[in-house]
Amino acid sequence: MTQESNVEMVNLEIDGKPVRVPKGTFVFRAAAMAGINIPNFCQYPDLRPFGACRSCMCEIVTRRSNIDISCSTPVSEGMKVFTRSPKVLEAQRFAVEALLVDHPIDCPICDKSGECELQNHAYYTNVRTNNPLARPKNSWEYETLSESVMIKRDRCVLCGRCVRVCDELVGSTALAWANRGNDSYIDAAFGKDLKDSPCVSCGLCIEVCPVGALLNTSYHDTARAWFLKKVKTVCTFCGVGCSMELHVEEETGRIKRIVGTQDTGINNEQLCARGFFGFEFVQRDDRLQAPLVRKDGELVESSWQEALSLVAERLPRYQGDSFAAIAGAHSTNEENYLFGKFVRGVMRSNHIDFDAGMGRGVRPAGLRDVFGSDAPMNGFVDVYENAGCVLLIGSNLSATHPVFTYKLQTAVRRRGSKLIVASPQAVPLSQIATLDIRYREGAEADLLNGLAALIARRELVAHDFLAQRVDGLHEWWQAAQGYTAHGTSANTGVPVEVLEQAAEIYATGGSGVDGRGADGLFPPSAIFYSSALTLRDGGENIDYGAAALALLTGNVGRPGAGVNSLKTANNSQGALDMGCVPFLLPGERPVEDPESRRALQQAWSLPDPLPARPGLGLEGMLDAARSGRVRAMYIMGSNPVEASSNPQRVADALGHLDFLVVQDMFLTQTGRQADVVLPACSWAEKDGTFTSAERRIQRVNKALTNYGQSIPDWTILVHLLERMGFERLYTHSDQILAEIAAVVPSYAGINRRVLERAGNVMTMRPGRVYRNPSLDEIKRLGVQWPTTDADPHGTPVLYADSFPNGKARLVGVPFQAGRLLADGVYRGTIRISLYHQGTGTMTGRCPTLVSLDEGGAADSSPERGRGVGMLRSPNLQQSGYSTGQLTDI
Amino acid sequence: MDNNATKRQFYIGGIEDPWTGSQQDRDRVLSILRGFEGYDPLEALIPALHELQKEYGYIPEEAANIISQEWQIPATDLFGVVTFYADFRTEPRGRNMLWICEGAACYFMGGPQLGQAAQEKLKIEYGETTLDGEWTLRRADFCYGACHLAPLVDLNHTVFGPLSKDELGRLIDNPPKEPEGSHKL
Ligand code: SF4
Ligand code: SF4
Ligand code: SF4
Ligand code: FES
Ligand code: FES
Repeated sequence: MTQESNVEMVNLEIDGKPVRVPKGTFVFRAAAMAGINIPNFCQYPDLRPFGACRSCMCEIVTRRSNIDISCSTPVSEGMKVFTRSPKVLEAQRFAVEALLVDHPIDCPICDKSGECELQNHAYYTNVRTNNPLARPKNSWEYETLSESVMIKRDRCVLCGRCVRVCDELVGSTALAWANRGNDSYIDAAFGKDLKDSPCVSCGLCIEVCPVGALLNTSYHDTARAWFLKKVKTVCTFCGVGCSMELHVEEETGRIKRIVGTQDTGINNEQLCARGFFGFEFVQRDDRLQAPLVRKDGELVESSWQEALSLVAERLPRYQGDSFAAIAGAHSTNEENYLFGKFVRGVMRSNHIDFDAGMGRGVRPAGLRDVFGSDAPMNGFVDVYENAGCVLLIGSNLSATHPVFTYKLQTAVRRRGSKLIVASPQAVPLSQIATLDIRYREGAEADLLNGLAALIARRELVAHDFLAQRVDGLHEWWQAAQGYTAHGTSANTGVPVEVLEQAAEIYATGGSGVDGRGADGLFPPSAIFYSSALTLRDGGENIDYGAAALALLTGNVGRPGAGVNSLKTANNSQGALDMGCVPFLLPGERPVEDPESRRALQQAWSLPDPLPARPGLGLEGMLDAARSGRVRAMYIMGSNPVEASSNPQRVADALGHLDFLVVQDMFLTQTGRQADVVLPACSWAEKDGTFTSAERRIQRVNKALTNYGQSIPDWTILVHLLERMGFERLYTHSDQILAEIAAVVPSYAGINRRVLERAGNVMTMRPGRVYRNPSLDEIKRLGVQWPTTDADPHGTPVLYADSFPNGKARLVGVPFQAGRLLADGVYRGTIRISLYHQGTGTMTGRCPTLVSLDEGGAADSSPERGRGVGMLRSPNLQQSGYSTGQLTDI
Repeated sequence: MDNNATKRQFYIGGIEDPWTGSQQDRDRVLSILRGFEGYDPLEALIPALHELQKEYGYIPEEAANIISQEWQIPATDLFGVVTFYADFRTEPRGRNMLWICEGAACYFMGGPQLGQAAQEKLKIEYGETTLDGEWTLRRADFCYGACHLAPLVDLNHTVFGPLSKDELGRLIDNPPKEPEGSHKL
């Protein structure tokens, strides 16, 4: 059972079944937990109880017997509940009949038919009459609220779920009730286009509407619910890693829509616009149908046979340092692992990298120097449920990690978590920030290090923690004491009082200076930023500052805390874990470490030792291509040309190569430079795992048959290796996963069964609007590495007991008056897109997303890229950071 | 700004929109809001909307957006409040506001007939404003709580009843110049 120590439990009986639930649970949820369904419209898990529709009435016996609404009645000890007695059925039937009086009952043409809660309840409660004479039926036409949301108001049962989820769970507050009584209807404020409102097109309102009133524009009139096959999988866009279901029409084999599912994944039904509408690219006609091979300067279609033979024949010539490779931040772990094995083991090169954002490769993170790893320490769920204060710096997570910000706003608005938003420009979360800090562009490092020095001066530090677990305090102070409040203020442009306030809120977990607990610690504070922020020169100083803040205040290794530098793409973290980085082997082991190399050589049964020198990163490879040191490249699921702020330069570099192989779904600008282009499957067409930005390893499941002749990236690699003379090692991606579990220490013990059990059901919400889950409960949401063979269920909070190198080591950044990044590095403001991601290779091919994005048409044609100009380049938006560093690579 | 101000001069039933979106209008809203300093915005909202409506005859959307920004109330909530209460209007209205009560008691006592008469006399339908901008006619589907006067009408916040069709006609020909808000039964 649940960990019960911190929760008071209540015993009751529902339909004769004994039920034991936490105190405060509503009868409705208690019944749901016992597998008993009660009709309902206005209840929705995790919303405040509303009690408007009366359809959930039950007979509730405490001291006396009452017909009462179960969704808003909390359980009490010894309570008896009857959900299906004749009296109850009559009451429930009356509620449904009353709704049917006005309802148009146009089920034959309603999108919701077959999954409509009104249909179901009418059926369940055995409604026999529909009195058409009661009064004329309501009648409204279809209306488009925005490019994503439609409404047919006569079907609305006024449950208010849409209005309330948008307010409480998304934080947009974009929908309103207009009018009153029987004339009520749902609308955007003042009847305006939803697109001009704070709506973020997350689709949750559509998702929760129990009837066919709110409709999905892209799904409308395209399928019947009962012909849809539902496949659970994980989103392919950002690092939040939302669980979702692909709904595929059996007959045509096309994805008709994507939905989030209740009680599943860390997102619990919520998705963002990308997740909800971003699937159309999968079935676009411009997908690559067959391999392309360059003949007489032209890319022409060829057979797999021919293409693979050509690659297998040419590549061996470039073994060693003249070969370089770019892995895919959207590819699965299995694919990236195999790719790394191919590059290091077969091609004997350490020149491997992936696009970490803004078309740049991975940089050695400052966090690695301090902690031994740059992985985010705490998870999304843990932080929004437990943090006393969240410090967000230099990142627009609303664009890069949307669903996390929806959750974060509930923490602020419901639980009273303090939120410090520091950013050069206003970001959406600034509006609800406890403290909204605007600093001078590029001053993140000064701000964080300055705050750390302030906290040290004010003695708001965790002495015991520092003494036991941190090295280098003295040296750190030598460097950091140069940061006076005034100096920091001068460098950052933030007033001294604001700095003081921020230091205090962060250090005390929002509780004020008297809030120290018995253990000498304040409530936890977490730091978040997009790791793309640190990709520029001097970026490590941001890491050092954040690490100092967290270490000084003991905000490491406990729930609700941590330094969380979030990678952007859905599997950037996984690509790093799998060793698709020039300086790291799988499992974050340094290339220089002979022991790690030997272990890997053994695991891969290689005759020769692995190359010992760290390889070139993405920028280095391109330089080396220009100078002729790298002569062949292999690019899997990546588009460095369009990702760059200077596409021409990257294309030129690739043009210098003797041989270029590109594996992708589409013919990108990068692919156009290639000698061989191999058609790869989308995420919907393959099995595997992704590792989200919070280290969560999740299953991706095949929902569609392969498009054209495309095959998954890993299968291409297997075929290629076969042609290069290796035996066929894998016939299913699970076999690669098994190898990962054996070879990558942080993934030990992982297998399909563990992942499926973990990710499927979210068991931690027994119906209370708010409560703090225990770490054990968070663990059941899914597996966050590191895992061990003995306990493959993962570690929600890193460094609870120790650091990879024993102790953490503070790194000081000396103060330098007037330091700002070189003049001219920052120019212009980048429009941040909530809808596009990366180069737009995927999102730019989704009509709904394109139309939602202002000016999207110009921005997202497949041909887009060179001419649009840097300020509109979505690559820079990927960092979610509103200014871009416009230097060449 | 000026351009916008001219663009906004649209006509509803012949009356000029009193809200032009000018700086003056915006300042007027801000000064109304200043009158409620120290109050909880949610408490002050309805009185503030009343003042706004007194000023402009309705709640201009832009004015509502100013309130939303100043007082940190979501625009959706403002929209909800403004449409919830029958007395608040989201469009400019005529100089005289005539409600015909069709609540249960008035309905049975002849409210609908009064409504018919008013619509014929003013040559407009419920919800409309006459071309000269003099009259706006609306149907009250709620009850004024003065059923002993049924059937009644509400002219510029003054309730008259019981009325015959002829009496209503005379009332329309000669609307009394009472200050808004006084109740003469
Ligand atoms: S799509 Fe999302 S943000 Fe937009 S109205 Fe619906 S719930 Fe609100
Ligand atoms: S539109 Fe749907 S979710 Fe919203 S109130 Fe109506 S029935 Fe409920
Ligand atoms: S893009 Fe990110 S936040 Fe949006 S649905 Fe996908 S994983 Fe979730
Ligand atoms: S679900 Fe309980 S009253 Fe609506
Ligand atoms: S019904 Fe008209 S006043 Fe009551």
